[in-house]
Amino acid sequence: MIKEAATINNFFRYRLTYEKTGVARYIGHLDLQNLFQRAIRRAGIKSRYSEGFNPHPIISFASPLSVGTDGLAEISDIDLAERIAPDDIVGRLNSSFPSGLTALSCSELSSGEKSAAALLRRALYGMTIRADGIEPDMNGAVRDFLSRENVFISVRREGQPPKETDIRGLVYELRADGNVVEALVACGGSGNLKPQVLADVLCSITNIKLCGFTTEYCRRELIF
Amino acid sequence: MNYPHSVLMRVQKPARYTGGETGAVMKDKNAVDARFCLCFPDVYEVGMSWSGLDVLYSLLNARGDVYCERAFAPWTDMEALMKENGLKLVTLETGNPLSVMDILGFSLNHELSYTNVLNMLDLSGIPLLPAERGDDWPVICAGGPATCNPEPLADFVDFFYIGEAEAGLDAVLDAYIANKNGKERFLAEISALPGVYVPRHFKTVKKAVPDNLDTAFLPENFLVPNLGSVHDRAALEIFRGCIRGCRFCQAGYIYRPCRERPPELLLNHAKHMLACTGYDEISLLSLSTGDYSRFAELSSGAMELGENISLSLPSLRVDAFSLELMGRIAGERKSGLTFAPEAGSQRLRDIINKNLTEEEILEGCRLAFLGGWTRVKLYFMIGLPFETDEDITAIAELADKVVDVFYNIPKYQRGKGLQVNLSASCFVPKPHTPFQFAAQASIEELTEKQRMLKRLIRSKHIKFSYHNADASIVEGALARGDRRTGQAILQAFKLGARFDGWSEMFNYDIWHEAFDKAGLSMDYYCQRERAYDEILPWDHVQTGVDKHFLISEMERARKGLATPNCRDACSNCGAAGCSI
Ligand code: SF4
Ligand code: SF4
Repeated sequence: MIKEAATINNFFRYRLTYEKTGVARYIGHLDLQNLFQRAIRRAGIKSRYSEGFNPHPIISFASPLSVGTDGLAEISDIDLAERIAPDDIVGRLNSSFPSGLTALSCSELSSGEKSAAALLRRALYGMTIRADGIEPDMNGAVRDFLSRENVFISVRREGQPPKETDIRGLVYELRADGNVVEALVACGGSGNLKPQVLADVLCSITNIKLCGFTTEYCRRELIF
Repeated sequence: MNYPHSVLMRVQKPARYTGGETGAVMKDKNAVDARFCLCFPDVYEVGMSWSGLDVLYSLLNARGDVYCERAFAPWTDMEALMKENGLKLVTLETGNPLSVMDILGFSLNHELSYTNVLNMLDLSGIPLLPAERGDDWPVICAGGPATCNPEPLADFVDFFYIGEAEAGLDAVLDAYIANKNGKERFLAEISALPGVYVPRHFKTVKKAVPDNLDTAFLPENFLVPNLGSVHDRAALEIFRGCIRGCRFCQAGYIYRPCRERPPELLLNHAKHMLACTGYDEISLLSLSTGDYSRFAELSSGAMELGENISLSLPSLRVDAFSLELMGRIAGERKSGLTFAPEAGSQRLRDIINKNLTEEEILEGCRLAFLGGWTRVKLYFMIGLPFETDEDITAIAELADKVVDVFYNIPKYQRGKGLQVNLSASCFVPKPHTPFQFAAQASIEELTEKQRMLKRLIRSKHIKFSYHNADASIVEGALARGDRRTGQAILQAFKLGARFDGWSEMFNYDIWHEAFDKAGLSMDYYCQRERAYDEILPWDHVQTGVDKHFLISEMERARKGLATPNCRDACSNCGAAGCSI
């Protein structure tokens, strides 16, 4: 999509870590992209724009976050047309972000550095499981899951017959404390497991029905 | 959080209900003398795109003694969940229920939002009738263009503010704060203020209007939605009112006189808006942008507002100058061009006083096609007064001529893939216009006209679209309604009418039943021609334009006579403070 600067480096790349919680957790991915563009302009920071008929600032995200899920350390890459001290970027974005978004840290990238989306391998999630008005103890389900060699789920794609997939290999660490489950799972282009899918599987192991509306998810960390 | 997570996860777009946007004002609610909630009876995205919102929100919050918050109509999915979970409608800012506010101010931009007003009150647990709302309940007020006939909602509203907020809303709040513990005293006191109409204290009311916009309040604070809104761009109001008196157009009469803001002021304000919002597009907003007297100066200034800032120019007349300008703005991306002849024949265009000739339209199209445009939108109305079958035929003929213009241009000079989008909406007679006296076409007549037009269109380049005739009948009945109409609105609300302005939500059967139950007939409001000496339900609202003037305009329409625009010659309409 974005070509690496072929000639001279007239732009500067930054990697931003930010929090997306509170009311901001209900902002969808597409809206978040527009919101970042506006927040950067409000902060008086000059973006690098794409070429073409419809130039837009070049911002990319490591991984989209589902609506309703908190993100404690989300990552995005931002190309700027000017060099700014990373701490300054953090400060300026924090004064222009709406409620629920907080810039945590920023670093400058070398021009050859791969994008965050390309580097992303794993994510650490916290899940507060709720089912039919109860807060189930998930220890048994977690032990059971970890003891298995394969855990097949059937994935439905539109217009295709359901496909059996093994998700066991996508889960690296899993522990429970009451109804709170912490999971380190594959995330990114080379393997991805949604926490909602994992929570569903864990609940079906203990024969309870996950409530998708009251269960809360939090992405605590993105790991390269 | 304003609503529980489990509820937000179940609705289509939870960000409609969370608040926390850039520009949302956070104040100590205990440190103010009056809490005001701006209530917009449509869904969040629509309300947040309405340019008046920033003006009111900023105007009220500029006061240290007032806290202005917002509430929008919850979409039907949210309404169902609120009822299921016993949740009340709350403001976006503090999440407090509307019932604890001091004043609720509804913005009424069109008649088909009336049932949403009642629904928002009901979802707040607030009684619908003033008699049931003692001093502990908020004062309910309403403003906006639809209140130029306040009677249909007069049974439910404590007072109307008729006119432009900048002119006198402050005085209303001062009076509220001075009479905090007595609703009746407050209402009695404000009924003497300009623009204020208290239905219980029936009187004639003069529209409140600032004489000029140079010194009128400009918003300092701008709301930027977290959720894609209908228009994601900054809107710059370049003038108010319109110099042209198209006889069907309510905005053209109720916002008289035409008042412009100077380019220097506008460009400075535009810079401020862009810096505060972070938008990369600015739209020049007015009823008829090309009529701005220093348009060349303003548009070239607006194009220099910043790198990567684009300009959009809605309601621009198409001519050589505007095409050149749009060509520069659009670069390679050429979107559709819009013409609004409104009527197909010159005879009918003279009747409605739309001074756009066939030559102008065709020449505009020719220049546009030469300039590379290939998409043209043509807006018409059907069901206009004095309309005959020939006028409907003329619509199809005009569209055909546009197609001919395209094919008469040598192939190498024109683009590829002509598309003419022809849209025909149903005319609705509105109060305070010369056509307020006219009978509205019936559903059967309108449907027949639509059918006829559809038959006449044969070119594959012409795409014809039209609106539901039945929604325009309900709109017409509410627009020219009287105090009794309120009972039909109440019945419709009880029967489940919501978001009537949304074609997928509109249900004619409900309205038919509602008017029946109220013992009223829509025909009485729609299909009846009014005599000039009939006292109309909105005659006590004085917009500044004299009823005599409206009568003489109706007579000129009958004779097919056009009336010059305000800049060419003043027709002495009576508009107060006019200095054109
Ligand atoms: S040009 Fe005519 S239709 Fe347009 S706003 Fe003015 S009066 Fe209304
Ligand atoms: S007073 Fe004359 S110029 Fe002013 S709005 Fe009326 S007709 Fe137009």
